[in-house]
Amino acid sequence: MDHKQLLYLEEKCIQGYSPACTTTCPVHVDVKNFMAKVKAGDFDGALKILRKVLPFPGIIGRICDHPCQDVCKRREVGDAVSIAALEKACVQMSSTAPDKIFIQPKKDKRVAVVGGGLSGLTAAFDLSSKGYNVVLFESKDRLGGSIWDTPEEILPRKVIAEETAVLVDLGVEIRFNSTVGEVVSLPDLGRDFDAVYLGLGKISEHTFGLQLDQEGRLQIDPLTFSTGREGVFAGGGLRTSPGYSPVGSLSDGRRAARSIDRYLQNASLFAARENEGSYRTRLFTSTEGVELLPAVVPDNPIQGYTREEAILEAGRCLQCQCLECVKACKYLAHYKGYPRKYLRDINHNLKMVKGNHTANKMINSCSLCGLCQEVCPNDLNMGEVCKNSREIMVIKGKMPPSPHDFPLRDMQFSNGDGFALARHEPGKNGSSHLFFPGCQLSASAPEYVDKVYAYLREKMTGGVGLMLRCCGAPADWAGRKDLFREGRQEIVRLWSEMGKPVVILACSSCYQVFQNYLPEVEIVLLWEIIDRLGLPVVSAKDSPGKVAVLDACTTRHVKSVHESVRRILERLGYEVEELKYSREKTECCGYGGLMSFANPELAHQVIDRRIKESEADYVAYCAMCRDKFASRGKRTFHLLDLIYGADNMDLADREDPGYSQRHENRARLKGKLLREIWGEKVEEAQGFAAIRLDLADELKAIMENRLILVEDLQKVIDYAEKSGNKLYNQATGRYLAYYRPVSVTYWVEYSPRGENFKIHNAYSHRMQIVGEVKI
Amino acid sequence: MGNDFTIELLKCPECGLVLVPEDMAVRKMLEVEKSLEDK
Repeated sequence: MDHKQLLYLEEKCIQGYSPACTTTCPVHVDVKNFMAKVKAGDFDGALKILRKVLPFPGIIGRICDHPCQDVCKRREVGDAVSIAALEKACVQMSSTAPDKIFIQPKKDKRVAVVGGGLSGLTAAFDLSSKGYNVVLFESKDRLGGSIWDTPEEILPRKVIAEETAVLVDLGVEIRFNSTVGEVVSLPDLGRDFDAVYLGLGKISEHTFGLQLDQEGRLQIDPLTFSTGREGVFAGGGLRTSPGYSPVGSLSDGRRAARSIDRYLQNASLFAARENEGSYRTRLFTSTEGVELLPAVVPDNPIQGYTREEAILEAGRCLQCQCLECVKACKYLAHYKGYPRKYLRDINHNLKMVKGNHTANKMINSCSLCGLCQEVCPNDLNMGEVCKNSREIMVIKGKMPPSPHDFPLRDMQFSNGDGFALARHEPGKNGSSHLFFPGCQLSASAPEYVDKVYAYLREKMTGGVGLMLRCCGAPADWAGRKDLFREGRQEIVRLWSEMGKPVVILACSSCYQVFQNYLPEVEIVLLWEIIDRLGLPVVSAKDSPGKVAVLDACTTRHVKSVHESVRRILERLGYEVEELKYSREKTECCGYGGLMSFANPELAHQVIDRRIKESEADYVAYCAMCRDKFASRGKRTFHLLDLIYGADNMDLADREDPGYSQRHENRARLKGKLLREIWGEKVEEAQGFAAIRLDLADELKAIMENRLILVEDLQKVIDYAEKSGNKLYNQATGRYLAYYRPVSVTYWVEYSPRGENFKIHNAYSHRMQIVGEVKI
Repeated sequence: MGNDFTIELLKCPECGLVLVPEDMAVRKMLEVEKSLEDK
């Protein structure tokens, strides 16, 4: 990923952005954290959060005009959170005196602040904290300006005095009864001070010869708060009069102070000022499934919330987040972060030269299914990122071999003599159509390949050829562009030789490969053909059953397939239940992206969670989904079970055949079809493949977990018996031998039993012994 | 991945066959293999 690409992707992930309350607040109070503190009963902590952005929390906490409440997400499921009332409760409950006051080193510039209202007070607070010498001119004999319009019960006068006392500690010189325009003129201020802030509060008769707008108000730049005259800034009630917003004035004073600070340092007044003042949030928050709750009503409305009432009300805060993808995808939730963080980890992993590539497993654990993109408000696709990353890792020679070695060898088997086949229909020397069942359906339920091929030959007149191969999806998922390209080129070559027929696919992953990478090939899914041409077997269903559909993740966008499958089920007499995550929002079963090889525990968790979505039997039209769900104990049909299986409900309990049986099923399928359809003789198993083994069921399960095939054991025994290189255990009478066909060394513990060999144990490792070290 | 690692194994003095016990293969070696892959 280059830097620009990374930034572009990171921008899409909005998790962690400030919610509407904070962005709408002109000074950006961290309302979410404030609520968390109040909910926990930590009112001092809550006050600290207010104090981070509010210079006079005791005042503003009591009189804030709360624009935040109008945009609070809670409004969609009840009343908005009573943010203002909770701030009031907080400042009433805690001592609002700040612990420490920080003043930066003294500067030799002088600033005049005109007006002791909220905007002037804030400007004075900020500028004096930055070390400037501030003189505040107030026309009355008291500070506060318009806040004195608030009744005493709401804003006690001693609070005003206590809060504003901090200005004295900051070294601000306050001159009461000093109306600018009468006691002192603006030009005077211009001579004695380096900058002036006008926070007059209302439209005053004194306009100081400054530029006015149509309504007779001072013209103030909305970004910099300058008036047009050198060094003179303005804001607050002056800008909004006759309207008055206490928090708005506070914000104006702060922003004008920032402008003055830059002005006095000859820095740009315009640069990097996005998100000052109120702005629209980028955060998306779903309120789906949230219980509607009304606001807590205080017992004593004048007093406000008690401690307990406040804690309850703060508990209604939604703690707005996005996390839509994390909610939907177990993989994204597993690493306890969210996409923007993952993008950084992945980028770091890819760029690293020396060191531990700790994100390798995470990159290889994604199923590449694209559900994240479907639920993300900004369409971020982490699957695309992971696949591209794998391709980069392969090119750089940094891809760990172990997660993908086995499925790639499985693919190699499917494209070898054991399974690969490309034939025209017997009696025809051309094919209008070509049946491509895929390697996994052939491995899992080879009898259906036979039956479906017969059905297609019957229904179609132009000749239906057969191609047995792997489409190459495992190579694509492993980031092996080289292997993937080789496989595709061979498919196109064979397809061209056969006259470029329309390819009928029975697997959604094959469909995705053909659709995206072989656009020259016209394709159609088997389910659409069956939907159009009619069911192969008319079976009377005595009672309608109910099934929930497991849509394949690789055809999530192909609506016609979702529809065809459902129509077929209805015609078979089934009531179709829609799972929560179905059609374009379907989840992967864990085989996609080779997740089940890179991270078997995670794949199990994915399936186990999906199993809980419904009590009904599931039906999948992907052979891998069917087998994987069945292997975790869920009754799952393949669509062909229901099409051909009449009322055989036991088919849903069929076990996953296992890796070795999958190879054998494919090989036998090829042999059977060659014999029965093309009348060709098939060779008997030779060499190591003729070795007969005796395997207990427990051992089969161990081999399955360790990705050890029967043929691997055969190769070891073949080598051991021919070479004599085997270890003999005198106590047990058993032999132990090892052999490394390609990249894995297999160990087999066995005893000859007549013509056969009884297998006691099998294990493997990838490391090779390269030499001896003398101790 | 081209990294070396030293462990103690039994070796037949006559025929030179080495014994990697199951426990070592499925535990220690697997651990090391996985961590070396990520370097």
